[in-house]
Amino acid sequence: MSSTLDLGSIGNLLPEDVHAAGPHLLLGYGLGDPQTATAAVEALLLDGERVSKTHAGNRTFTLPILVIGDDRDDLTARVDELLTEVDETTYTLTWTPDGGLPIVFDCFPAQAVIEWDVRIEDVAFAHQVTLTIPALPFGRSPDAITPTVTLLSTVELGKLFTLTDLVGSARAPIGAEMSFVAATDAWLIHRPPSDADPAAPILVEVTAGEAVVADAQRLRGTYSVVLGMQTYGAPGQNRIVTVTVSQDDTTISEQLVKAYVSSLNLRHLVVGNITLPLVDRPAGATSGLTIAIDDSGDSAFLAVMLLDTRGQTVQALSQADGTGASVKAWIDAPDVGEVIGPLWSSSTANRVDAYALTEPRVSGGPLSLSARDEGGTLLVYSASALPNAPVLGYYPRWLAERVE
Amino acid sequence: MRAGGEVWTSTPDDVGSDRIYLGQLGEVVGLHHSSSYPGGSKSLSCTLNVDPLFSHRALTPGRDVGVTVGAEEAWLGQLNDPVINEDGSRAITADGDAATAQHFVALGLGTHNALDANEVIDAARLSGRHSRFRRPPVAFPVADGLYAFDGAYMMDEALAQNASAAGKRWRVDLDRVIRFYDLAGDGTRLLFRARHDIGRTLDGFLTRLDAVYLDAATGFRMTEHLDASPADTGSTFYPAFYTPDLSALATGHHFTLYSDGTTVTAYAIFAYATAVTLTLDGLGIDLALAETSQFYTRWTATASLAVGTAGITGTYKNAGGGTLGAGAQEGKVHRGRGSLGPTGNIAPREAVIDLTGEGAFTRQEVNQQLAQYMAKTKTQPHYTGSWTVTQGDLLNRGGVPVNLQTVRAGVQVVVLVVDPTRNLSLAADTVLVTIGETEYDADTDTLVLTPAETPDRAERQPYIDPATGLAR
Repeated sequence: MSSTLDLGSIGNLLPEDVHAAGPHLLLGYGLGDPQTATAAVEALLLDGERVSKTHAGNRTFTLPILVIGDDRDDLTARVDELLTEVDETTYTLTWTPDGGLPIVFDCFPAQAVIEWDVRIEDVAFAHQVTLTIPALPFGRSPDAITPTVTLLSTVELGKLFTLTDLVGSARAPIGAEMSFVAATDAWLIHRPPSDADPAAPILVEVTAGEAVVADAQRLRGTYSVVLGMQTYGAPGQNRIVTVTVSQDDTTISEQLVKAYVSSLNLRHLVVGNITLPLVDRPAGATSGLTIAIDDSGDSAFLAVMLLDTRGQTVQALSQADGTGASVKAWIDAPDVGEVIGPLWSSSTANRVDAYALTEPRVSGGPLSLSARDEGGTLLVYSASALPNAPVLGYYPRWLAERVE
Repeated sequence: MRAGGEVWTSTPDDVGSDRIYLGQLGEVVGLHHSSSYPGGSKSLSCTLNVDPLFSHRALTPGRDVGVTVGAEEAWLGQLNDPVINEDGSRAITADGDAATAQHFVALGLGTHNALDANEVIDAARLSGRHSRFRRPPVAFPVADGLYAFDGAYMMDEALAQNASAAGKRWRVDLDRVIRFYDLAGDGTRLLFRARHDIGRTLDGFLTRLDAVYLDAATGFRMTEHLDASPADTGSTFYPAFYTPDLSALATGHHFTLYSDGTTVTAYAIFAYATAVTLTLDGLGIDLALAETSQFYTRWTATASLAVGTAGITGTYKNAGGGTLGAGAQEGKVHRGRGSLGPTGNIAPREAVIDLTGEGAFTRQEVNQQLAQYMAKTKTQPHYTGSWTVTQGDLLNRGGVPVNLQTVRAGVQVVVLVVDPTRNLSLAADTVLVTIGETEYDADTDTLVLTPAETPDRAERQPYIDPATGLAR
């Protein structure tokens, strides 16, 4: 067995019969590397710099290919077929090392350079074509996997889940199918960043206008404070909600103020962003927060959610199907070239009955996972009905070649 | 994964309907957005990678534009006409909420007073011309000025005048409520570990201000001057900001208090030469007459006053203890703004303002203008230059890194200045800087901070006719 490199519908560029008609990959090929973009920060007092990675840019394949035809006309046809394939908006290149697992690269329109030599064309019926193919930085498995989603805790109309059986060394966008025990007007799903503490208290119950957050030392970053509403009283009223966050055993507190209009559609109230903890603690220390909620009207709240601004969040605030209620919802992984995939909501259990969400709130890019998120959490909150465990699916991505 | 929030456009209505994320249409790169203080969201730019023939209602000029970070918006504004680049991608630009206020004429609803922020905002909202802006439940104080009628100002100018009259700055917050904040900032304080020098300047500081004006009685070109108060005779200088006192209009007399913590000084613009004592009612403090000029009297006492206290009343009394004047005169204590540091005496710095283009004035009116202009001088160190920060450079008060995308102009930054001449140890003084502008770059995940400018001395000032107590 030997390695193979399959180009879309063209087939293997490394056929075993080196004399067969068709494309043959020559020496000097390169599978490229992701272009890592970094930012360097000078150290304050010492030599050296701290380098952080901001994102990975596309890789570039360089494929010198000898195309062989049965005759001159066949050569022309094969070259044309090859160039047509790599001129598509997107196509795939699948690399399977000898004894290894196939990995698929999503490619974009290529630059083709033909070495014209009439003697080789007329005598050997061959052309050398060098393809420069831009591709997404990381290849993916050809088959999707379904991670395990296990219930961790339930708070009012929200649930925290643990994610396990994750595969893939590079981050991959995921699709999610969400369902609820009954129809719901709105829902929210949040995936904290991969370095977040899985035990961080990001979903807390509100009792009599106050939420007590234990183990708050696990919260470290800037969070959006979102209130799950219980009742809002009369609609159409101008109101002010004031959220005061205090850190126990300190005199430090911060206040967030938000003006809003009470509405049937307002189920999750985003109050503002806050950086926590208010006062840092050393490793091993514990800390608590008290979150007091004061509303100028008669709104009542069920829960407080602390959504890391470095994570991914999707909020559905209304549905387009006219019923205003959702039994099932889908978050599709984005296609190549998109940053956010389609978002669907259905009043039945069937996807064919779904409509696109018209009032979504999306941040942090598409929902995504990698093996580094093993044991991480996923938060789902619903306006009026408990959510079931979402079904997730994705094509694992790999930094170099596929491991499993 | 690239940092940066999600860019969306929506219908420009109250509820932001038909929200469409540009990331669902194509790849968004090169995202920059900025904010200013005063003002709020300032500008946004990015590139949307789509085909040349791509068309979508999400790119219709005039739609609302926003950037979502976490669950909150980090920037809000209005979409300009996208430009098609050579490769077909779209150059997307948008004006922030602060910038859009420049495009609306300030009109009053009921009284047609363009300097009534409450009327101006309500009128814009009800007319549908700028329906997303709202004001807080507590009404703004009404300002008075030289030109208070409809059409005299654009909305941003009117808001600036209103805020200035209250000693504040205006900003459109991310819930699209227009609020007034302190000159020093919105109350958020962050710690900044600086890696380079902070430019410092005394620009704006004055010890004397002269005015050139046309005399109302003679029509002649005249001059008047005012020295900075309190007088700087020591190694430190405690300035104060002055807010025009509009509460004693009925009597036509009012005074302004300053305190440096050990001495209380009052300036009464309108001389009351026969008075001997100015008694601050209920506080047991009698200020003695220290100086009489043609245009004002100055009273001082050795005492302490709590800064920021409003509504202190006082009574002018003659030598026999009897009261003078009709009614009580009301003032407000203003806080000292700190020192210029252990730099010794401050050398004289003077400036001249030209009022000849504003009409004819009496001497009393000119002195009031001088007092208001002088109060606008920034008598504390002013910082210049811009700083670029990366993730981890800005911390909350507890020492925890803040997400740079969520930082808006109006925050105060505590700067730890590292003096390389001191063996890289931290310098003795801690610097507090109000940020006047921020610019965030999503591709590099960096934030440029620019210190706020001093309040503009040349801003058109509210002016009260002493005879009528009405705006002139």
